Amino acid sequence: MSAQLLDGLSVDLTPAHRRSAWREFVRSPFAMTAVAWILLIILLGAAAAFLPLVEWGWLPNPLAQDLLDVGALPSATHWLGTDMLGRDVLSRLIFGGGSAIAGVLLCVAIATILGTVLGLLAGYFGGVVDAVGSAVAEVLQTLPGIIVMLLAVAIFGTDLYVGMAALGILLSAGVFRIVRSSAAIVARELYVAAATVSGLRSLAILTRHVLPNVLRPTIVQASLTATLALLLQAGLSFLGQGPPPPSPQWGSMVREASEAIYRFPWLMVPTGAAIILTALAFNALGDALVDTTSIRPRPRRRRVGARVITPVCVEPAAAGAALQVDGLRIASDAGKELVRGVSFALHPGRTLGLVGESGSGKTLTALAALGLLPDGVQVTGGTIRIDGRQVRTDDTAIWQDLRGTTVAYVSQEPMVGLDPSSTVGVLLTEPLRRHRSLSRKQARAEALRLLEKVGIADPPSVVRRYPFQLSGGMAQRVAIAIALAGHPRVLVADEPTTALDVTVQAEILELLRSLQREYEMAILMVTHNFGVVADICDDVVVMQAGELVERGDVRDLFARPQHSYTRSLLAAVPDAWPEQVREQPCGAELLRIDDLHVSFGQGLRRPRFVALDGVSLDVRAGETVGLVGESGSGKTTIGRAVLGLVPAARGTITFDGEDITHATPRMRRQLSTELQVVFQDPYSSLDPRLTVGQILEEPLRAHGIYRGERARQRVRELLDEVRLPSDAINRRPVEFSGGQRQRIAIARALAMSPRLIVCDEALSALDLSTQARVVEILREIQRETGVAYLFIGHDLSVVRNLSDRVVVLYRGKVMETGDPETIGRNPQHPYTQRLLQAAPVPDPHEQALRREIWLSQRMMDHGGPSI
Amino acid sequence: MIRLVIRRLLLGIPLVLIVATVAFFLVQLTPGSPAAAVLGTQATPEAVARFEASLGLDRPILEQYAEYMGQLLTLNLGESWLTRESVSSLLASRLPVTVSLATLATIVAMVIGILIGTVAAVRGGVLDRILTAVSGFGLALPNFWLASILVLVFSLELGWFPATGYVDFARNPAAWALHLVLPVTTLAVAMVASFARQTRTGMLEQLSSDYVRTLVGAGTSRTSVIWRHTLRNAAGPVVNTAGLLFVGVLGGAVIIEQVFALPGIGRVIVQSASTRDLPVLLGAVVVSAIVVLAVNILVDVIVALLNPRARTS
Repeated sequence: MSAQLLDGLSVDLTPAHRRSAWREFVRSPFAMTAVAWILLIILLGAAAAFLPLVEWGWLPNPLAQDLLDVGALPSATHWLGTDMLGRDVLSRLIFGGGSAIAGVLLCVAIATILGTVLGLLAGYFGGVVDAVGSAVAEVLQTLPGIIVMLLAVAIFGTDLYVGMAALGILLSAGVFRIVRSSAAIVARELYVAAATVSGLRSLAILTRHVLPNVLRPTIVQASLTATLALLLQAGLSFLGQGPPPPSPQWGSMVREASEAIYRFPWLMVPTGAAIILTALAFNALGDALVDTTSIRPRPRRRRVGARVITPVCVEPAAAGAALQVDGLRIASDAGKELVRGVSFALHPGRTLGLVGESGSGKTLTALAALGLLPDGVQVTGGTIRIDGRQVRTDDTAIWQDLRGTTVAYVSQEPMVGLDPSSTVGVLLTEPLRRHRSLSRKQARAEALRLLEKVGIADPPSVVRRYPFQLSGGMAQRVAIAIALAGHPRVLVADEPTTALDVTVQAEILELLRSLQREYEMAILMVTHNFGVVADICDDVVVMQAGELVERGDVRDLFARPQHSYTRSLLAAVPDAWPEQVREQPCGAELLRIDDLHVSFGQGLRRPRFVALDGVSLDVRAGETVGLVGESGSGKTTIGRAVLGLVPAARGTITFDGEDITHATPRMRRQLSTELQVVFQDPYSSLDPRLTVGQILEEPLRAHGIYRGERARQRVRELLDEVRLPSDAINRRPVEFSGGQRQRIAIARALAMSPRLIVCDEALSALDLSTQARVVEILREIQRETGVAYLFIGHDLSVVRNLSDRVVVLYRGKVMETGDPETIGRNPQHPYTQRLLQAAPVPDPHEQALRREIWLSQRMMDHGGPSI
Repeated sequence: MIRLVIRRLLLGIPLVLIVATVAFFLVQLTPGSPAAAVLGTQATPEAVARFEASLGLDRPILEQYAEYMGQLLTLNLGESWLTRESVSSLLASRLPVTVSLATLATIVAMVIGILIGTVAAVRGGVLDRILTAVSGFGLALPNFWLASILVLVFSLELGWFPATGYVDFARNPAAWALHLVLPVTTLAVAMVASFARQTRTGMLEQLSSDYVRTLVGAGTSRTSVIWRHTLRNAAGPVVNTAGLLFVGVLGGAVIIEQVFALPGIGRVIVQSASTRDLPVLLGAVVVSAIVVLAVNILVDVIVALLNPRARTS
């Protein structure tokens, strides 16, 4: 389940942290039985190998033949019977088991240690190490294990341990591959980048951050390797190439049993069982480890029709309502109530905005209107009426009919929302043929027509493309076209423009408006952006923590908000932020970027993608410089270049007079006390395995200035500065909300009292009210410590309301620089003007006027839609 | 697509050469020579020396290596030390048996495994647990043990299938099939579990993707969503697994051919290992590397066909 959707629930569905994970492991019967079995075999085998058990009479001699008692079934004297030469089976199994497990452990140890160390280095450092390691692994993986072991036998003889060592080297290739790919993924995580910027050395990062996070797949692979080694070794001795008889080996015992299978079929059972149970034990161990450390819940039996819905007809059917929801209640399977009695009506030709922050239940409400609630939540009360007819949750057949024809859905992320292995044409013709019973040819023609209708420039070419070949705006248009295929009465749009650039957003909103006019469609729009609400919505419903707190006409809502929550939300909008009082003037120049060029892409043949094409800007001490741009503008790249995370091709970066463009790792570590970062994603910028205290202490320990009690004192100070309680020290990031995590990230950045902090879209992933709170904290910190900010963002109003100076970026070049006032009132560059015009303001009257201006400007520029 | 195949071939040929080189030098580590096996333990030192000279074993190692690699490039794998037979022709006659065994087993296991994995992922609940447990059991079964049990039940007791031997497809397709049923089943059992698990994991991931919600929201039927869209997206890693598992199947074939007396490369490998007939063993290693390479290229092609992103880049 995507984390965004169930943000408020993320703690519910995921097992918390390591402590309880081990408890779960210990409680799992499979895991404990497996461990017990393996320990038993090891103990018995070791005892048999090192203690004179035969002399003591505890075990019959495994080599002693008794030709008078061959093939006996289990009895008191022979617990597992005797074999074809009268030898005691149990004793032979125990002696054989000792060497079997010893060999397996040797093989697994070699494979795991070799594979893990090399895999870590290859995955983290890449480059030559990776190329060589992967090549060697590929060679090794071309050879079947048994052939290598036979080769070893041919060369070195039937020594068990030599063979297992050779196998260990061979199987290390498998471990290498797994560890390498896991390490490569972890190496790209933001918390590793943060650790680098904090000044940690590579070795420290590898052992503290990378290794613990690749431990899980490594352990799983080790258990698989153990099973494989056991079966291969048994197979080898089955072939007669293991240690020669009469030494008891499990594999050769199976062969002897199979040769005598007609006379003594029972013998196959204990010989096979020994191998099978041990192999199962290794597997069960691996499985248990996967389950306890996995964050994916087991798939529940998909419930069709949950608990009984008590139809509570609070209001009579609103005349002509396309969609009517009454007293809707939604709860998780665990019983937690997520939506508590929401009611609203949606009429054709009108747009209803469902507004709220994360955890408000707005998305769940919208999905319920489609019968599309995810696993783990269900409707527990209330009614849903579509075109006057009540539809119950368990009416799967009816929902199937309604979806696509009467109600349609557009998701938030256009790229992820389309099947990656179907062409646009297939994605369109499928619903067309199903809902409108068109022939293949008719459907194809209609698909082209639909694409044109949603404003796509070259339908015949686009129809052949795959989703990954489309831009964000185009993909969303395609998604809308798909939704329109069945001529729906109600369109449920779940934050359809949140993932798009502001200029693209304006186009998509205009498209929705024109389609609504043409089809008399009702639109249910889920959003958290009040500008969008002001632009497109006719009615608004505000939700907080599952409850409906306010409902009404959009103009009334903005002009006279009734509920305190609505008022606080409106006050949290960037345009409403209080102006920063500047007590001291900004100091001397601290950071200077001159004609910076950065490009990506490898090889001499492939054209390099130019991210930055000659950018110059500067930041003075104590100042906040805001960098704004859309996707592809290069704004993130500037931040990363300053921090040394991407190399500069040309140009210079100067910090406090010193040229840091090509700083050595040692210089970077020293710089990390002055130059810090807060990343965008509060979920991946904190290592989930560490406690908050450990995370905050890390930069302190990397520089060695704060130690012991002083370090702990400093951690408490930092938490205080970001207004988090000091008991956070022993808790892990997963226990905190997005806004709190971002505050932890800010605290980490402040640890060594830096002079400049790069805020790389630090507010973009936060709710409105959380944004306002974090901004307050950032401002307070600036007031107290005089730190400078290089604030990178995509939302012009956020950047303008936060910065002393604004820099506008487009396609790697600076378009305009200036103070927020001028940029807002009198932008010089046409791109800035376009940005301003496209951004919706949270005021319906004003927004309507701006829209007219935007439309006429657009007509003048392109004569129509542009993306 | 052709570019993909050519690129993989160009990368794969050095791989085979490296395998051959490593195997060659490993073999040089062997103490002694097959003189004892061929001439017997009573042979005089002069007889041994003559024998070794006749095989060219007294020449400097690098010279032997150069000759070996040169011959390799013309697909000449030398002669057996024991029978003086051409290794290439020996292996060529045996190759079809092993390849058909391994390929059939992989295909059968893949089809059944994908079915089981999909059902387990989609239905969830108790069925999921049962299927996972049963297929996990399959992973733990030693194939040689299972083979004996199957022979006992289906050959000796029920008489449905022959216990040993092999019939050429060209000669008698029905007999060919009958002789392969038990061996293929034995090999497939272990692989079904791997395919089932991989499919299940992949399907679970896909089913919680956003595009599935979009498809369902557009009114696409459940069957279509699962079998037409999700499976196609989840299939890539599963097919990749097939490539990796094939190596294991080849190894498994070595053992299975012993049990069922199939005249494949596996039996040759075991024989030459115990008689220290190194040219044959070496040749078999090289041939198996080539087969694995060919299968990997095929797998890459199939994955590219399934994944449009790989195709167009």
